[in-house]
Amino acid sequence: MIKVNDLTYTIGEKQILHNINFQIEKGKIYGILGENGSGKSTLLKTLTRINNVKNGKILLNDKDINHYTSKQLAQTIALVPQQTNLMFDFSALQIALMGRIPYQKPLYSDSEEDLEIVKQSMQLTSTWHLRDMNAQNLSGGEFQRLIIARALAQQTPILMLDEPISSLDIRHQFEIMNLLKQINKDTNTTILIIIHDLNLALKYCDEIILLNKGELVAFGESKKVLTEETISKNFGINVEIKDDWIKIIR
Amino acid sequence: MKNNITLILLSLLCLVLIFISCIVGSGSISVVDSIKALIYPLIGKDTEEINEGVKYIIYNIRIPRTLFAALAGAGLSICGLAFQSIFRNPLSDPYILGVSSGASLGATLAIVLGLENIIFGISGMSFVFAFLSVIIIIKIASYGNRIHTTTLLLAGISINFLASAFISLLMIINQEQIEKIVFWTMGSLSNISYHSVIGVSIAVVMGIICITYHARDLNALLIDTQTAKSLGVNVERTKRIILLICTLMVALIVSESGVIGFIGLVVPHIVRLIIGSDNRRMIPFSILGGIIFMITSDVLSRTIMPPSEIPVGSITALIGSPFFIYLLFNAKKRLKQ
Repeated sequence: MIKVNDLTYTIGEKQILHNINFQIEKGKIYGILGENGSGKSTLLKTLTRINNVKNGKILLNDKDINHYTSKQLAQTIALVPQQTNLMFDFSALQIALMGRIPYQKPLYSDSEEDLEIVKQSMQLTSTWHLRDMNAQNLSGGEFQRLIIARALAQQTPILMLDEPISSLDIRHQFEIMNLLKQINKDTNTTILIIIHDLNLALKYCDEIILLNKGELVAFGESKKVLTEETISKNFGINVEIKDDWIKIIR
Repeated sequence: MKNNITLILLSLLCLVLIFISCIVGSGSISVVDSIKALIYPLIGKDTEEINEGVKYIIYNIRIPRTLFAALAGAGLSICGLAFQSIFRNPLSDPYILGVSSGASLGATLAIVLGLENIIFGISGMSFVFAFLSVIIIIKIASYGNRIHTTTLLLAGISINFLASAFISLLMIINQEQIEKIVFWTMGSLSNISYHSVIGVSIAVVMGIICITYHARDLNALLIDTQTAKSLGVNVERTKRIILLICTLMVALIVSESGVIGFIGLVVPHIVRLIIGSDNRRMIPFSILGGIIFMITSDVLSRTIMPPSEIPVGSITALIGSPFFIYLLFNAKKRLKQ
């Protein structure tokens, strides 16, 4: 589905990503892990072409990502950005409807079909009842679900999320992760998610992409990647893993 | 539905204001004569009994002036709306960002250099300088992909200062042209001909079509650049097109009427407060609001102190600057929270 070949990304003199190679398969959930500054967000931004690929190659369905038009790309990959700092008044419904932009023609109004798709994705994320509220007045969890609803309205085979649960309380974290799991199961959507919580990654992700200082240090099945040794080496903490549960030891 | 009714009512209000604007003025023509001159040809009545002078003033001065006021109001207001979207900043407006001052410096230079009689002499120079101002502002205020609000406003103020300084300098050096130049710094609709109306109407109609065409993209840009990109908006191209067409509109308006400030700030802001930020809905309301604001200001400028005329730029500034200060206070309150 996605092939990353020799991807290197630099900002000025600083190399953020160094010679990354991996391959994403359809229908799996991939967790992107690593310390702060390890290049996780940059990787996701490069995969969504928010950062332009200059060195290396990204193939999306066997086609160079640079050969996609903006609309085609937005019909293939949906992104939930790390943070949305809303400064203007929009209703929740208006925000979710923006997910249909890749399909809409300018000057035409929103079609019945658009409204139906948005309604479904808002119902799936339990945000439909909030549709007439000013999105600025939603709580953190509600807003995050709304942004996921917008991404779902894009109806893409691939969904990428940049730390969607980092600012949420534990109950909402599980809620969002369960939602993603369900979407993955129901629609066979490939999901890439940047996540910090190692236990949630172990529980929900099929595969792990582990970055350290811009290099891909491990890639593979979650249980095989998240071992006591790799965790202590890449996160600088000592852990004990028992029954698929990662426990920090002092 | 409710929106449509409001739009119809506002359109009617525009028509009424256009009518009023054609029949009142600082000249010594009576309102009755003006009405006659305006209505008779419409209902097929003979206009011979009306004084030629009255007819001349109505047809060659007031009507083009009113049409221009409507176009300038609509154009400046929608430019403000578009600037607010691409800079993602509710305080953006062609005047505050120094685009208008840049254009007026261009016009002044054109006069000093004697380019007045060359076709596109004044408007061409206005465009070049307005465009330069935009580029300088963006260069100053952008950090990578982001545009910093405070720096953006400060950059606009610096450009304003710089342009005014140059204009004053040019005035001192060219004493004999001083009256013509003053006109560009104050904003006035007293020299409008059909010729200017035609040029500006083409630019404004093009601008409105272009901005309406990109209305959804501008909505996505109001969220943020990253979101817009991920929704398939060609961000760089959209920004470039919108900036270009807005600069063209502002330059053409300024080259005919001088600097008229704050419309692009006040009108979209009030509209946004009432109907929310969806550009697709805001565009028609901002156009009508701009027309209403501008024609009202122009009528006031002609009638407050007869027989002399106050520059319309002072009227809009008198309304606009307290409003801007109020918005700054609001922004401060938001920061505190």
